[in-house]
Amino acid sequence: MKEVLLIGLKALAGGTLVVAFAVLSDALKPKTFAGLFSAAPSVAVASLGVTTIAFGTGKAAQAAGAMVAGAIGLVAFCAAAMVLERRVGALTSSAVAWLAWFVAAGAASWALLR
Amino acid sequence: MNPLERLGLVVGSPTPRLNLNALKRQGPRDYLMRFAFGAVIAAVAAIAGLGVGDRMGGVLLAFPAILPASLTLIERKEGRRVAAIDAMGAILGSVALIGFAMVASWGLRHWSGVGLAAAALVWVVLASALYVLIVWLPRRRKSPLARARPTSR
Repeated sequence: MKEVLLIGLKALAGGTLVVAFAVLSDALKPKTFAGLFSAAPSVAVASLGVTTIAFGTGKAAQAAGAMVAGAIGLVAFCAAAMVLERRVGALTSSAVAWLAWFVAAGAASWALLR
Repeated sequence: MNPLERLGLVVGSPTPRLNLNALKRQGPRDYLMRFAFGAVIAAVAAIAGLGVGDRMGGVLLAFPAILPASLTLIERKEGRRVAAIDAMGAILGSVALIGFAMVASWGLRHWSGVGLAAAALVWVVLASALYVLIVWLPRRRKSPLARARPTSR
């Protein structure tokens, strides 16, 4: 029961922080600067915060360490999306960029976390 | 010319400013969609953490769930070029996210909850510094030359 409640809390906090950063991003100019907030640690802050409160810092620190691999994947995702966006549009570029995330995050996980 | 400008990824003044009128173009559905994406990825990361382990959950904390939604919305309202410019900014933000994760991992162990706040601060500082170094400074340096006009032959 506690787990379900924590998942719900993380989802609520994650969604709320994502919207907060989205509002900030929409209200900022130029778009290059606003784009910084598209990669803000909204879900991470919410999730690590709830984990710290519920289980202490050990579990949260381990998750944060593994997040380095995911963040390396995110750099690859953004680079692929930027290059492909103008040619093929958001849907196709996001699909290909997701592949780039899986490859880069997988390789980084293998290299850093094994 | 700055390579970013040549690629059409930096246009207009690079100085950040608030434009609250731009929020009028966004509807509640746009934010509801982003909330749903954020909530789903936070839940999936939590479930993965419980089922597979904290490491898998941690990797998923940087899963790009919100970016595709943002790019789709920007493309629909402002076109593909502006969406590509947003993705360029997101590259800088995600490089700063690597710093966030490293500081959070170390900070949570040594400073408890304060470590998470410090990591968030590091993200803000790193992202801003990258923007200044890669986008703002090259444009500022170029400006006086671009404005200079020959006065005589």
